[in-house]
Parts: sequence; structure tokens; C-alpha cells
Amino acid sequence: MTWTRRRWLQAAAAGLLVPAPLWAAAAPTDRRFLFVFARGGWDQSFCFAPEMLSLSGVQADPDGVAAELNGIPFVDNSLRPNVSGFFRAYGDRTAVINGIEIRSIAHEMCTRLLLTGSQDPVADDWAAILAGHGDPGLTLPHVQVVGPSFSDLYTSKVVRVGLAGQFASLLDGTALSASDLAVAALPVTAEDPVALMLRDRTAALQAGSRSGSDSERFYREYGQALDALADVQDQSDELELSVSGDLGGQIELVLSCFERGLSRCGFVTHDGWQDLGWDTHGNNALQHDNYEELFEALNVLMAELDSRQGPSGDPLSQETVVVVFSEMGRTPRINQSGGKDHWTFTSAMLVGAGVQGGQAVGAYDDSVFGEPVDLASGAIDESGGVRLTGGHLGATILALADVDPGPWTGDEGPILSVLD
Amino acid sequence: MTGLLLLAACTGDAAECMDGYVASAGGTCEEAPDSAAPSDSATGRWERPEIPEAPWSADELVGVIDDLLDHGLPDQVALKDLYLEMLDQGRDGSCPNSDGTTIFAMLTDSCTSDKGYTFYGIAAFLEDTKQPDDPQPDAADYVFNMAPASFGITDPDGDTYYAGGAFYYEGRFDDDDVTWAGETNGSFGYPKSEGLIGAGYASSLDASGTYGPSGDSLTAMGSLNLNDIAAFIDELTWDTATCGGVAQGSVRVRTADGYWYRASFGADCEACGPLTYADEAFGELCYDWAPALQAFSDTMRTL
Amino acid sequence: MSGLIWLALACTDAVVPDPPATDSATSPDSWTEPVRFEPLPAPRLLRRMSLDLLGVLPDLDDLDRVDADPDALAQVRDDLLEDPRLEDRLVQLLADRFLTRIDTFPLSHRDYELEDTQEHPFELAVGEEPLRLMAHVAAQDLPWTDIVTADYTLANGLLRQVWPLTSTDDTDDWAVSTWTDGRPAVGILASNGLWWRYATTPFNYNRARAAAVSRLLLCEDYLARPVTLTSSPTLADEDGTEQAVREDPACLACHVTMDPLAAAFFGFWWFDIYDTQELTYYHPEREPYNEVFLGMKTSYFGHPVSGLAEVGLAIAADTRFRTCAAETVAESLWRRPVTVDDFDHVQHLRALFEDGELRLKVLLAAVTDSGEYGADGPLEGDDDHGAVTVRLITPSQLATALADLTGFTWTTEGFEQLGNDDRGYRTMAGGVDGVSVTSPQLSPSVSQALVARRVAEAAASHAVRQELLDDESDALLPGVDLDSEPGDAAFDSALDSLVWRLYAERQTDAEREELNALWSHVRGTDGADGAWAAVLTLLFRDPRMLST
Repeated sequence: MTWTRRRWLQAAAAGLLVPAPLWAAAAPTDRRFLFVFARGGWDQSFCFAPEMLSLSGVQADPDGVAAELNGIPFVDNSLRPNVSGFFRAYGDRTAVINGIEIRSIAHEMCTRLLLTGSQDPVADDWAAILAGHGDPGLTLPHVQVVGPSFSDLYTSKVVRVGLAGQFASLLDGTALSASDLAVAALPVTAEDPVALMLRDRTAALQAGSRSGSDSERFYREYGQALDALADVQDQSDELELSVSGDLGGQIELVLSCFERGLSRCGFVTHDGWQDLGWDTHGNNALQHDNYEELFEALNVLMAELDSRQGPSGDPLSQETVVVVFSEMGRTPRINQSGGKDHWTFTSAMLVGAGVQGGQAVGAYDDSVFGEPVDLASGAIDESGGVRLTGGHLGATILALADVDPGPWTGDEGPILSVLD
Repeated sequence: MTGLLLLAACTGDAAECMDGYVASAGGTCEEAPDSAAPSDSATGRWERPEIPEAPWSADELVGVIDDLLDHGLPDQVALKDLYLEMLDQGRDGSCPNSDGTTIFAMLTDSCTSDKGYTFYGIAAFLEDTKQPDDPQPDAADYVFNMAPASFGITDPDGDTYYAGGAFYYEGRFDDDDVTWAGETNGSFGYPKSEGLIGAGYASSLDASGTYGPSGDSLTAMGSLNLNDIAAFIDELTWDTATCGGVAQGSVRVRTADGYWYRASFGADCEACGPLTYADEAFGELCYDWAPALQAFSDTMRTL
Repeated sequence: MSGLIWLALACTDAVVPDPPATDSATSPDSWTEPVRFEPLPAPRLLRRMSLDLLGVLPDLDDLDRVDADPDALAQVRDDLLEDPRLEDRLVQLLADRFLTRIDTFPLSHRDYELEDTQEHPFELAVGEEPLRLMAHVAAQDLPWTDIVTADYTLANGLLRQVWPLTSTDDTDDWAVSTWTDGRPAVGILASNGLWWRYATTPFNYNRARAAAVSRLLLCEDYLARPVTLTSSPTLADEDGTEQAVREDPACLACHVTMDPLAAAFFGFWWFDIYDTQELTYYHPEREPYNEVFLGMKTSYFGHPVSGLAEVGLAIAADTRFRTCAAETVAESLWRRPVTVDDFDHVQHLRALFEDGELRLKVLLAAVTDSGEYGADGPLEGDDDHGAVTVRLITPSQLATALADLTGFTWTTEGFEQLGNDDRGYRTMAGGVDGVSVTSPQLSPSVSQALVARRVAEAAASHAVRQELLDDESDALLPGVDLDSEPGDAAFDSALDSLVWRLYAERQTDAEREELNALWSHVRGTDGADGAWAAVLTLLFRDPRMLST
């Protein structure tokens, strides 16, 4: 019998695994998570790793200066004022995690490893897991705006909204009026009877299926989707679910869902300045523009989180964790095309609720490999520490949500020093 | 002796053999004559296909090489001149750019100038002549560079100068000689031009050399697809002052079936050298590369 | 004495060792699949087969036939395999495996000066080119090895317009076409569509392409192996990396076979990775760049080969190619990754495949015959079965099924809305975009339910117009007109037949009454056409329609 991740989780659900001692089955918090993906592989020497400026083997930001704000060491450069601005304003709420090893050099695999901690082609990413452990009454548990998504057990929790705001046009029916063939939505007076009957039929099919069977699960999840759809329909006048496409527009959509208590997770993607991408095999100088644009959006995001309220009435910033990451780093040296190639070590940032801010955990050694870290203290520990992986990042994220990471990350536990 | 006795003794019923094998008198299992043995293909073994007969004799190959070099070797100077000429003829105050430079980027849409020229794509071309007070004393005396580009410039007649790739040249005074180096990598063409550019070609030629009172020399390496003939220069060196101007090196020419001739030449300053086809000996090829190389060297005379 | 002992030992029946225990899987008749599942009733299994193999719902006649005689299912399935629609359906199945149906390629329609109305047809054509070749080989019962040895490709009129292709077919349809730029006879390995999807970068030197070929055709995924950089400063730049892949055993574990295979692809080397000329044509003169950039000649897992043409032959002879074909079909139809637990079954499938002269239809038949494929659910108590016994209908299946039923195809400004993500709803509906989403969704979701709602409404709207308002068709609701009512023979019969056709289950009396009530209710406010739209929408949104 092959133990796939699916079987681990099913066993865990059936209580067949010994629960991890640190996390008793606690009720999920209402904490929300916004994943910001810098797609393509950022150059950590331009931002997170000022120690690289002094390494002779590294061609780091040529005009970068080692700086520190609010306990966060970073690379400062006048071309990137938004980076220093971010750490100045929000460094006390930020934990930078350096030296995360992603054991691949291919974009797709690296993304999967960072987001699921595994190469398993059938796996849920952290956002889907969080959504699956959130309030079951959420209408849009995980809003996937732009970017990758891996789901298996929690597929029903993932709501894709489309690259060009397709969700909104489907919801309001304009998607049909734009069709090349003349078609129309149902008359308004027919919508409710159809919806009711559909829901009843689905419930009857579920009731008629063997408990725990694939059929029962399918009908149940479809029924839940129909209910969620009805909720979204009811709020559609107030909800802006179209997307402008740029990072700011994507973030706005997620915040709108957070504000209304519709979602626990959101996933957005930054494809670099003018969508030229972070994957700078040629012209590494683009990393300046990429970081500046990314951090400009992050500054706006944090300001919005502070000023906007969630359903509890508290600022969203008190209940939201922002996870900023890129699937890989870049090589220490410039290639013949003026760019940098793929590197198996990267950095990430956790910002916000539950995060012990004002620190950078982990570092890069002289060879630009990640240093081993003591998970409890966050200190570099070359004798007893562990090299950080996507699993450790994921475990930390799950721990921030009071979700036992054991079934998903096994021995790769959370970085405790990052948890408030 | 014991072994022989053992052998002699074991003449009872043969041991059972796998399908496709039969027991021999010696008791071992041997492949049956017409057995349904596992096919070679099922075990991953396969026969290399028969190499087609060489399409050209050595003499005919000379003609093929002549055709290859009919319009000369690709020279980036001609590409540069054509680019600047069309840019100059075709631009107006805003198309393809408003700053009057030799760089333009039409990434999503083309533009058509009031001269009727349409520009599309990206071209980042720079040209520089070193000044006496140049802060970089080691800089080349003359350089031009088309960074990796993909553009089309269409004239009012509808003919397009297309370029996909890059070209580069630098020249330096070296006392009375000029030392130059450059590359032409990619696909280029413009029907109205003569020669190679008119025919359209692809090349990745990396060459360097000198010219001056002491003569011309060059080394080259790279791939050529000229006049629908594919060739590859493993290495080519030539110097008018040595070896009687006989080139040394190795050049390959490809057949339509995908097999290669390889001609080596210049050993002992002889224009003739061994020829192979599909890595098998194929006699000898004699070819005088000097005229084509001299013509190419002449095109490099920019300083 | 010792000699006698030797004699005694020697003359036993074990003069030669017993042959290794027969791998029962190599004998097709000797391996049987363990019974682990409750089988689907024959009509529902036919429905699943019809949607998987043709992308349409089964005919009423076939449903009736297998309902009356379940043993007839095998023959009906064989008929499906001979249906001309199989080829189009295989394109969709293979798209989810080969991931070439992406929305953005390095070149767009504008690079060929095509009109904007051809944006989507261009993207579709490029992505489908290698898939069409494979589907053609399968549908025409040619040996599967042709996909890497064919001296032709499949192209439509648009591709023949912009690429160096010629064909005896001068229509716009997909047809056998021949490259005119000297590329070797290697089937999909000579495909622009494949290499535009699996491109390479200046310092990758075609290694990504070698990895793709190994994963797609041999089911050997280099990227599944962890890449752990040893603590070596030589890896800091490309020179150091090139040295490491030649000398470091940790790197050689992959590169010793990957790099010589990558050496075969330099005819597709581009000096500008976004240029029309560079990407359109094969560059035979660049083949020797393997020696310049990789410092090695081409070889195929240790066997020297003279170039790409021989790589195709080597793949065709590789046993892994055959096993991978079996795995590919199994994964596509079982809707889950093949695991080590499936080893015996996969070997059985491979043996059948070889016995069947490497015709893909043999695999399609064998997998659809399997107990797992025909599973309704596990045997009592075996919840840990790992099979997918209920599957979400894929967007491509939903599109073709509804088109077949109603004549409706959902396009907007020429874009197939269930076939793209730039403007459409492919991944929202659970499909694969080939880049960010690489496996189909198996379970319902909010997005999927929303897409299903709108496509159901659109198909219903179209059907009502065609069948009842404009009277242009009688296929979906035969004998029905706007005056028909519940209780009329035509009305009742049409609905019964429609439900039977949609779900392969007979409508119950209770369900019939509910539908009649819905129809009557909506007729009161929106007329008979509105009522039929409501009923059809409900039927198309039913979870039994959206699952297979």
C-alpha cells in the first residue's frame, strides 16, 4: 500500500495518526491569509540578504547598501524607496525567512514544493488546507485570483475568479450576452424555482448515497457550492469581483472578500514590472523595478489592512497574515546575458497577525546556501539546526491558523520563533 | 576429469528451459532456431538505420560549397547599414520613436510613419566611435551592437527587413593594423537587398581578425544556412601572411537526410585535406577558401 | 566421494537454474484484476465511456441496448473506438497530459500579421498540432511509435499559411502535412507546438526539453528527483554549473543521460526566443551546437545516436515508451496518477498493447474494461481504495456534450469559452491550462458550479430557440412544440428520453412530477419557452449531468 498524501489525511481524519503533541484539536481561528506570489524567482541579494553584499563570490545589487529597520536587515537602494518604506512602516510586524531550500530548479516543481511541501502530484497547497480548516460557512473560502493552485481534498474550497474578471461577468450574466450565439440567462422569475429544485435534487441524491462514498462527497460538495453561489449572488451588488489584472486590483478583490467575511484565503500573483517577470535570465537589473513595484503594492496593502475592518469590526490587519514568497532565488553571479539563473534557495516574508515581527530568521552562507536554523529560537545553528524547506514554511503558516501541520509536513515543523 | 564425468553423466532428461530456448546436449539452455524469443525491439535494442548513400562526390561538394558562399559570408556591417538606412528613410517624429534614437520597441502594435514605413518589434542598436578623451581607455575605437532583437521594418512597397537575433562588431587600431571582432546570430533578410540579405539567411558566425599593411587574418566559427545550404564551421583560421594564405580548419556541410560531410584542410598549408561523410572516410576535398575569406575580411574594414 | 556428491547435485533437475518466476503480467491471459469494486450498471458505464472516448452522451439506442443486454457493452464500446469523433476527443485527453493547450506562446497571431479574429484559432492550432498528430495515429490504428517516427505532422489551414508546411489537402481542416524546412522524421519531436510549449533558455541548452521528452514519452521525470546543490562555490555561475554537471556525481545522476539527449535538439535552438523567423523554422545548421554548448555528442541513455532522427527510433524501441503509453492511458481514464501498486496492472496493459501491435485503441479498450474504470464504488468496507469512482465532467466534455445535444457552442469573439482562460472559463470549470493548473479538478467548486450554471442556461436557451421557436431541429425534444404540456404523450416521452440520455438512469415518477410542476410554474410567468428553458437548465445543472 502506497502512502500518498491523500491516505495520510484520510487516516488523520479518522484519528488513525498520533496527534502532534503541541497542537491539540483546537477550534480554527478566524485568521485570514493573503498569499502574494512573486512569480519567476526573485534575486534575494537585492532585498533580503544584505550579507551577500560583502561576499566576493556574489554579484549582488551593485549599488545596494546594507541597512536595518525595525530589526529587519535588508538591502537598501535609492532605486527602491518602497522597500525601505515598507520595512520602516511595517518591519515590526514582519518576519523575513531566509535560506529556504527548494530542491528543484524548475519553476513548476519549485512552486509545488513551496506551496505544498511535496512533489506529490495529488496534494493540497497551504491555502486550500487553511480554507478547508476554516469556517465551513464561508461563501468563498479561498479566492484564487491569479496564479497556481494545487488542490485535492479541498478543491471545493478553492474559488477561481478568472484572469479577466470572468467570475463577475458570469455572476451578473453579462458573459452570456457577449456570446457569439444569441443566448440568454433564465428569466429572473425562473431562477429561484430552478435553484430550489436543483438544491433539493442534490440533497436527495446525497441522502441516497452511501455515507462516506465518493458519490456522497460529490453531491455534498456540489450542494455546498450551490449554497455558496446563492450567497454570492445575494451580495453581488456590493461585491466587486472583477479584477483589473494588476497586483493592486487583485489585492483589492481579496480585501473585498475579507471585509465581508466571505473568504479565509486569497492568492494573488505579481508577474514583475510591466509583466516582464521575475525570471531575469537576461537583464537582472529588472529586479530593481520588480521589487519597487511589489513593495509599492505591499505598502498600499498594509495601509488598507489597517484602515479596513473585518466582520468583527476590528481592522483587517489584526486578523490577516500576508505571505510573500517566490518559488526560487537566483544564482549568485551574473551570466553572459546580464541576468541570473535559477537557484535552489529563496526567501519569504510573513507579515501581520500572529507573526513575531522585527526579525529575520535564517541566512545565506558564503556559498549562498541556506544556513541551518534552530526552529525554536530562529538562530543559526550549524551543529543542531535544520535547513529550512517549503515544508517548514508551510508548517509555520498552518500553525498561525492553529492547524496541526503534522499530517502535511511531517517532521518539518513550524519555525516557532516566528510565531507570536 | 571430474567435470567431464559430470558432463557425461548428465544425459538424462534435459532441464526445463524458458520459452524460446531449448536444452543443449550439454544441459545448457540455448536459443531455439526459430524461437519466439523476445523481440529485439521489446528489449530496447534497435538497429541504426542504413546511412543513405552520399549525395555528392567530393567534386560535387566543391560546387555545393561554392553555392553556399555564393553571396559571401554573413557580415554584420551590411545588416547595420541597412538598419540605419531604413530607420533614417522611414522614421518620422513619433514613429518608431520620438527621441530620434536608434532604439525602438513596438511590443504590441506596429506603427506606420508618414513616410509609409511600418515598424514592429524591438531593436536596441547602439553605435559608438571612441573619442580622444574617452573615460574608458580600453574601449574599442569603433563598436556597434544590435542587442538581441526581433523586428520588422516594412517599406512602402510592402517588403520587410526582418531580423531575429543579434549582431555585434568592434574594431581597434593596433598600430597600423586594425583588430576586429564580431558576431552575427539569428535570422535576417530583406528582399530588396542584394546578396545574402536579399536571399534571407540564418547564421551564428563568431569571427575575429585583423587587417592592415601586413595583410589580413581571421578566425571564425559558427553555423551557416545560406542559399538553403546548412553548414557548420568547426574552426577556420586564415592569414594572408602565413601558409601562403591557405586556410586551416574544419567545415561541415549537411545533406537533406541529416548527415554531415566534414572537410578538414590546411594541414601542412595544403588546401586539400581529408573528407568524411557520416564520420566515415570519403576521400579528399580541395577547396580554396581564401577568396571568400578575403571578401569577408574586406567587409570588416570599417576603420 | 566429493565427486559423487557433485554428480548427485549436478544431475538433478536443476542443472540450470529454474527460469525466473514468470512475470505473470507479461502473459495477458494469466493476470487478472482483483475484484475490488462494485460495478456501474451498464448504461452508466456506457455513459462514462461515451464521454471519455467521444466527449458526447451515448445514443438512446445504445443505452437501451446495453440496458437490455449488458454483455453488449463491449461491442458498443468497440463501436465507439471506431467513431470518427474519437480523434477529436483524444486531442482533449492528450492535452491534459502533454499540456500544450496553453493560452500564451512566445509568438502571437500578430507576429504573423494575422487579424485579431484569429488570435484564438492561432493559439488553439499551435497547441493542438502535436496532439493532432498523436490523435491521428491512434484513431487510424497506426502503431503508437509513429508519434516519434512519422515524417509528417497534422496541420490546419491556418498553420499551413504561416509555417513551412505543405499538404495535398487544400481545405482549412486538419490534415496530414509535411514540413519543408528539413526537419527530421520524428513525429511530435519535430513539432513547433511542442517546442514552443517546452522552450529552453540560453543557459539551459535544451535540458528542459530533454526532461520533457523523458517525462512525457518515457514516464521518467527528472524533475521528480530532488536537486540539492552541494556546498560548492563552483555553482555560483554558469561556468561552474557546467563543470558540476560534467563532474559532480550528484549532478551526473541526471545529467549523464539528460545532457546527451538534450544534445539532439539544437536544430530548434533560437537566438532570439521571441522572433518569428527563429521560432518558425527548423535550423539544421545549428545541430552541431551540441558539441559547442554541451561539449558532447548525442546519445540516448548510453547508446550513441547520430541525431534527432535516431532519437525518435530509440524512443520507439524503448520498453519504457510502451509502458508509458499504458500509464498515460490509464491515468487519463482512471483520473489519478499511476502508483507502484498498479505495477502488475500496467505491465498487463503493456503486454496487451504489444500484442495489439502498439495500437492505442487496444489500451483504450483494455483500460475501459478494467474494474477500476467501471467502478461505481468500492466493495463494502474498502474505503481505502484510492480510485476515483465519481469524476467531475471536464469542461471539454461538457462543451462537446452540450454541443452534441443542443447545437450550442459557447464562443465569444471567436474564443471557445470552455477552452481558454484569457477570457474564458476553462480552469474555473475545473480544466487544465497547462501552466498553472496541470491536472483536472475532480470535485465541484463554486467557480465550477457558476460556470455550469451559465453554460447550462446558454445551452438551454439555444435549444429552446432551435427546437421550439425557430423549429430548426427536433433532436432534443422530438415531437414537442410550444403547445405541448405535461400529460401529452410527446411531452412525457421527450422528457423521459432526455433524462435517460443525460444520466443513463430512468426518471422516477417523483422526478417526473417535479419537472412537470416546475414547467407549469414557469410557464405561468414566462411562457412555454421560458418553462422549457427552466427545465432544460435544471437538467443540465443536475450533478448527475456534471459527473461521470
